[in-house]
Amino acid sequence: MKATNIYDQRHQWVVFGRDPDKPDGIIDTNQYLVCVDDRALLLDPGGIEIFSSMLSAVLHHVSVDQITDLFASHQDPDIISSLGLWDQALPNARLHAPWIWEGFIRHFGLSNIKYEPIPDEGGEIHLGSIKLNLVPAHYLHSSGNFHVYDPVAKILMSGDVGAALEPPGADMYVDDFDEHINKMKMFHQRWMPSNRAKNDWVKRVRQLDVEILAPQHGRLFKGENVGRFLDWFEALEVGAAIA
Amino acid sequence: MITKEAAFVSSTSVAAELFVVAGVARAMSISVKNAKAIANRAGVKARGFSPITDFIDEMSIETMKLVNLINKDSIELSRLAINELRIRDAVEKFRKVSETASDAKYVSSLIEPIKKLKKIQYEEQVKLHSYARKLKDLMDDISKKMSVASVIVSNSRIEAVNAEEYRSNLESIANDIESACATIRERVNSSEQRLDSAIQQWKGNAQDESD
Repeated sequence: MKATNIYDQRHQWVVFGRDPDKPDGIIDTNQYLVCVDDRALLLDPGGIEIFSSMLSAVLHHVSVDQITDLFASHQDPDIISSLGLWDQALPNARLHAPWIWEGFIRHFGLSNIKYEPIPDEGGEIHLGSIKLNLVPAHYLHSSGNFHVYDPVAKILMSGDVGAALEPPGADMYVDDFDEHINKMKMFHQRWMPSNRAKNDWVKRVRQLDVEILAPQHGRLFKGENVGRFLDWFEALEVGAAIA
Repeated sequence: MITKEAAFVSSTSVAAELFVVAGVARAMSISVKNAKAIANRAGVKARGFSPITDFIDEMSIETMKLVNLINKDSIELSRLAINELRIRDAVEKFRKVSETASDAKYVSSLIEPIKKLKKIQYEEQVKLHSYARKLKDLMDDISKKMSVASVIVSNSRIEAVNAEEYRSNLESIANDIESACATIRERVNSSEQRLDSAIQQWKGNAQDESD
């Protein structure tokens, strides 16, 4: 699995994805690791099928006992169905996930890791010397959904917002925004059910200083492309891709 | 003959197989009560029949109790089997990662979780074998009861001969009971085969783990 450092200062952000060992027919996913001092957080650690590749890749950056926190933006299998295996590897970790999904996510297997329910209004994850903000993103696409904003690194992990369906081996960053629209238009129109929720999210994100918008599928948006994406998304009619 | 199926499927299937046994035992108990009523009407002509029906009735009630016990234990066995499967899967995945990421800086941090998991896995396997043994003992009890019941039913046929006009009714009931005994034996036998297959797999897994 490919690992790319997207922020490397006093703390680090690493994105894992473009897994060449991924079984066919499984959507490619981006998993994120935030390392601060001697602690680490895994964001949307992925599905059960990519667990081995993911753990192998992670061990190049941190040890298992350094991983103290997991985050699941919502309940989908490509986000967190590997939970039962992480649960065996990380006996003292916490899982931050929407309160609304607790009874559902526990079906993936949760005996050791502590479930920290995120209230609807969001909250913070304290990771060593930094605080990460949990930004509400309900109905984008899940009815209980959060994104993670790092005000120091200026990175917004945006879950399915900004996601694109790409062929294997795609670049990590969007280079030609206009061309990229074709790869994400249908995804957003079909998966995002509410214009009201979308516009509320865009308004909230415009108040943040975002240098990198990091979705769970496809390429990341950097610099000016972040603003371009917000403009495009705001103008897009969602919940509409039904024939 | 049970074809090779996953151990947790085999252990779960035991409960389903024996659920049928409980139904057959209940039907057997009703047949016996019918036989008893006929024997009462027959009076002295079916004098020898009453103690036989009492005995079989008691046996069918005991069989239902045993099946209830087995049901509870087989559900627990199935839960343990699935848990063992999950732990084994995790151990295998961690081992694979240890190999594929042997050059990773922090690969040695997996040693402790693997050690802990293997300890839990061993404890789960011990529990599994203990439950499996207990279940086999309970199933043996049912099989023995059915063998005795078959002998008693044969005796009841001799008594039925003396029951004159009630003979055909009593013989028909004896046939029903005999058929119920055969069904129960067959189901228990099939459950035992499934359980043996699961035990063999667990033994094989434990052997693989120790290699």
